[in-house]
Amino acid sequence: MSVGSAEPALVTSTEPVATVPRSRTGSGVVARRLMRAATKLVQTAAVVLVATVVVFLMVHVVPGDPARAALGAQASPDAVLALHKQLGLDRPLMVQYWSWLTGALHGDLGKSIMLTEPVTTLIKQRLGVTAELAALALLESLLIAIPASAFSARWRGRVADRVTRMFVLAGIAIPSFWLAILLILAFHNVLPVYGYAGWAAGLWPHLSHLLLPSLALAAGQLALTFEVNRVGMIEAIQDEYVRTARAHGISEWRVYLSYALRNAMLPTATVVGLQVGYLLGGAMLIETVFAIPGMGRLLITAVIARDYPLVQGGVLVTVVIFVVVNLLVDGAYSLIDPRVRRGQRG
Amino acid sequence: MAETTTTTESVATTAAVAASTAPPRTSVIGRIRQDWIASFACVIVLIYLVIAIGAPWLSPQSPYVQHLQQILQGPSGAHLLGTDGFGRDELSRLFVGIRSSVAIGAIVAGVSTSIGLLLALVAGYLGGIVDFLISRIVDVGLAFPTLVLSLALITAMGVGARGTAIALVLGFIPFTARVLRSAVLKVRQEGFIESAQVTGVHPLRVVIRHVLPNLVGSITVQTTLVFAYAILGEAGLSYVGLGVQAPTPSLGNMIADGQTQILQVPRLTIVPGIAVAVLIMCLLVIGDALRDAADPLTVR
Repeated sequence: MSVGSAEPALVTSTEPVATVPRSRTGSGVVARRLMRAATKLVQTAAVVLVATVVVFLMVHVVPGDPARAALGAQASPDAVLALHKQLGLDRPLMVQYWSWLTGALHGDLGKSIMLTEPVTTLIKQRLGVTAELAALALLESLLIAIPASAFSARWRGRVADRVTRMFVLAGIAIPSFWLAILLILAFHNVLPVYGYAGWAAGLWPHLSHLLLPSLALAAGQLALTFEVNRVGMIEAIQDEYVRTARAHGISEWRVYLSYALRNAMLPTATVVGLQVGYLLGGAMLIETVFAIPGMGRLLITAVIARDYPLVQGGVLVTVVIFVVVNLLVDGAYSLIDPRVRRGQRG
Repeated sequence: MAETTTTTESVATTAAVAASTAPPRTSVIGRIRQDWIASFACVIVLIYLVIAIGAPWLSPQSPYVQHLQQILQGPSGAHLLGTDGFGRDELSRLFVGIRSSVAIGAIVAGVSTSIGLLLALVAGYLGGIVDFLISRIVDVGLAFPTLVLSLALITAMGVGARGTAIALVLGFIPFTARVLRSAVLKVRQEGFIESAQVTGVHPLRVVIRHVLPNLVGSITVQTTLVFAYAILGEAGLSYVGLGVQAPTPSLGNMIADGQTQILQVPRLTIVPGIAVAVLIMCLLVIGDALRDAADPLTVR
């Protein structure tokens, strides 16, 4: 994150972390920071708790018997009744929710109807694949979006800026799964286009299977990072300290990269947290295109089979990951920005 | 604070510059007409709407009737875009596919913006405990990635166009409510609202006569963007087999159909994909232009 930390002397807001004055810690700043962190934690916990209710109820508010829906119209009444009992649907709603919630806290999300395996086991097998795909896509989108936005901000309003923005806009407009199919069409002779190879297969086979999927996923995600970072840089460039830096005769590119970019990174960090949600959603589609055995494909098959325990578990895990990542980003934000760290901002 | 004064100064100068260079105050539509890219995008979207509404009459042939002797034919006079794997006329399927996708997009955009607006008005205008409760509910909604929430809802409602539309509506409400609520809060601070309240105008009348007209800009931008993202969402869900079900074509399931013959007949995948991409691109351009037109001072 620290781009161009070699020139911190001119900019007050980029003071190294180590120089935070000790004396301030005595004046209630620590208490205030702990308060903020605690409030944030409680809020997040509340959101997750309500989300569990939503995930749980979603299946139950709809008329009809989940067991009947899962087994289909041809199933015998006995089989439906047996599954009904196995899923605990004959118990009061509150009891069902409570046992599901306490089970979830102990890592037990029930048993999948279609795969007859514990939901947690199934998710554990797939989550790593999706996480790696999403992480790779995030990395690629940052590697493209940040330099592109710096370039665009530098030539703001010129042809170069307009063309870059058009490409980025196309990145959102083109459905990621369709772009993925086009990539398959273009590279099916060069790269593996279906399936997934674990680390055991070796570094290149492993990465080459993830290259096209992650690129397709990154294309749609980078637009938001690009847009936020570009606007952030344009705003930062109009600030006083940048004028000072220019007056010191620092080269224009250096001004953009060391000063404007550094400050624009803060709002960008928040956006990256939000991206994780889109990445997890987008990964579902991409995994389907490339037949990658990840969480997304697992969930989609579960939805088609109306495998309620599996859908509930998968959605819950995704939501928790999304919320926790955003909590971490929020925490990181206050570490990066000294103004937030010292409680000078809201 | 030296910093704040300079910012206000720079904003003031930007405003002055904008005022001196901008043509005499025109309506939002007037400004869009000056932006030729946005005007062009409007024309394209209009064409899509005409196709969506007129598909049953515009389609040269039935999109459902199979001619198994004529499968996977290239473009010809009889079939302008060729035929698919069942010998069905691809152009007719494209028209009806656009109809399904645009219909779902329009319904989702209309309904989710309306409900979001209602929540935003109630929360933003009443404030206090009502605002707190609605905002926390919106927070929970935002904790679900849209596509993931849609998945869960489709499980409950079953696959198909209806389930997809409802799932996407619920998925987008938190976003529209959040954005429109901040727009309501902004309008609420205006002097004329306070004057109306002080002079004893009925709250409902204040909202309808004074708050709503000032939200038209935000509502249009929001509806356009949700329309675009809903079409993308529908395409994605139909692609994985959860949305519009065969034999009814939608742009999403046409791409999925085409993918089975991607290496032999790439046309069947590429054409519906271009149809989605062009429509979304135009909607995003229009959304951007509307936002700029409504708020010319934002950094661009």
